[in-house]
Amino acid sequence: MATRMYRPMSAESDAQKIIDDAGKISGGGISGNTGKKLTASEILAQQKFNWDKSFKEEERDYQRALEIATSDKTNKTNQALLGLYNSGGYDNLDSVLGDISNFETSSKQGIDEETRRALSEIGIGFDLADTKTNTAYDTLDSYLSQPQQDFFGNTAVSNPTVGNDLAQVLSAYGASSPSVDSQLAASNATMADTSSQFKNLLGVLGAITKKSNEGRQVEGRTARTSANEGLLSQRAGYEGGVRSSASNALQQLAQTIAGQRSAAQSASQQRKTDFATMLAGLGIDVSKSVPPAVTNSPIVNEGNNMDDVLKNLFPSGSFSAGFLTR
Amino acid sequence: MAYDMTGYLNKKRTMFDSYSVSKAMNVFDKFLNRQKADNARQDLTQQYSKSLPALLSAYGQRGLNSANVKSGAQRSGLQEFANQRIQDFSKLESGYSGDLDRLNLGDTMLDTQYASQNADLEMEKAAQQAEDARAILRARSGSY
Repeated sequence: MATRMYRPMSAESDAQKIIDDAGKISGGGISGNTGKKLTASEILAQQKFNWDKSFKEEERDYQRALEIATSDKTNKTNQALLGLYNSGGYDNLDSVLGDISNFETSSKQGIDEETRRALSEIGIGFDLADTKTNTAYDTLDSYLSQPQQDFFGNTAVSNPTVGNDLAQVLSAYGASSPSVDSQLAASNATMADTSSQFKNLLGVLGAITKKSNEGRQVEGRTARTSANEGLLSQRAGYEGGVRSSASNALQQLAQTIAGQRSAAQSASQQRKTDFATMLAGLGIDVSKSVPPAVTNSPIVNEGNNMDDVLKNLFPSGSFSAGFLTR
Repeated sequence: MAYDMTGYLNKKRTMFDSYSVSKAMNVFDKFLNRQKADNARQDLTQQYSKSLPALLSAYGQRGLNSANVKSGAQRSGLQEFANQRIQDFSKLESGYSGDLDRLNLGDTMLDTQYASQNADLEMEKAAQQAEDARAILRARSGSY
């Protein structure tokens, strides 16, 4: 409890002043109607008596005001605290949950937009790659399907022959005979056979080349098919990656949101428990709608609210919270 | 990412250089072959032209070559001479025409290989362009 302080009366000069002042009083004051002139000591004693009396009265009034103010403040405060508890106004759970929902919504939108953007980019990339691939293989097809020059068919084949330049001489000497003609025919036949074998060789080589060219055309078509399928597979893989990433992101977001909601609710519950515990410490039962009336309780707070309480009790402004701390 | 034609053009030029050099050398080889054949033909003709009078003279010294005396020995000798001449020329012509055929075949092989290499190069270009296209898709797709 605060204690009122007052100025001590021990100073000699003050006492003398009081005595001098008392001397100026003629028969009035506390001396009564005896007509007897009081001595300085008597006057001093009388003054002290009066002063003490006044002080005690003032002190009593002060204590009374203090008790009223304190109990009234406590009652009001308790009522306000219980009201605050019941209304849940001490807690910002709804606001926090709202923020979390907003975060969840904007995050989902962000993930959706990023997914759409990535899929669009993949689509554009695929179209571009597909066009370039098919252009490349169209060019190749055009090149390979040109009529191939028949190099081996156009190869010159020598066809040597020999003649009998001595025919006239032989005839002149009667030496013309079937044996020379036979030799001539045999030699030419041998050379013709060689030419024929060479032509056969050219034919075989030409056929091999033709097959090779046809094989290359097949390879070109296979390469085109493979490239197109590769692109489709590549696209599917990238799109799958995008969707998988989006799915993971959404899953992670859901976990984060759930964690945040749980933490917010837990913190809210903890605040409620702490508040109830604090109220119980003040003697307030949160299951009751009205706190118990307090008639005299210690001052728990000397803040500005006390000024309001005192102002209601003492509209003249005799007391203030500052007074309580003197 | 655009296809870089530099490598393609470089290979094409290298192929053409090699092809052209080989073709030119082949042309020169054919020229040499023809020249050798002509020379050999000429030498053989001269050789037989010189041998024939000597042969006739030899039979004449033995009184076997008068117009009215057509001995069997002379006829036989002349036939043998003629047959030998045919055989020698036949060998010569076969040899040189064989060489010429080989050179012509070489020429054709050069043409064929050059065409084949060009076709392979076109395939390689198309494959590279397809690979570049895949790289474009990869780049467009980011890190997915």
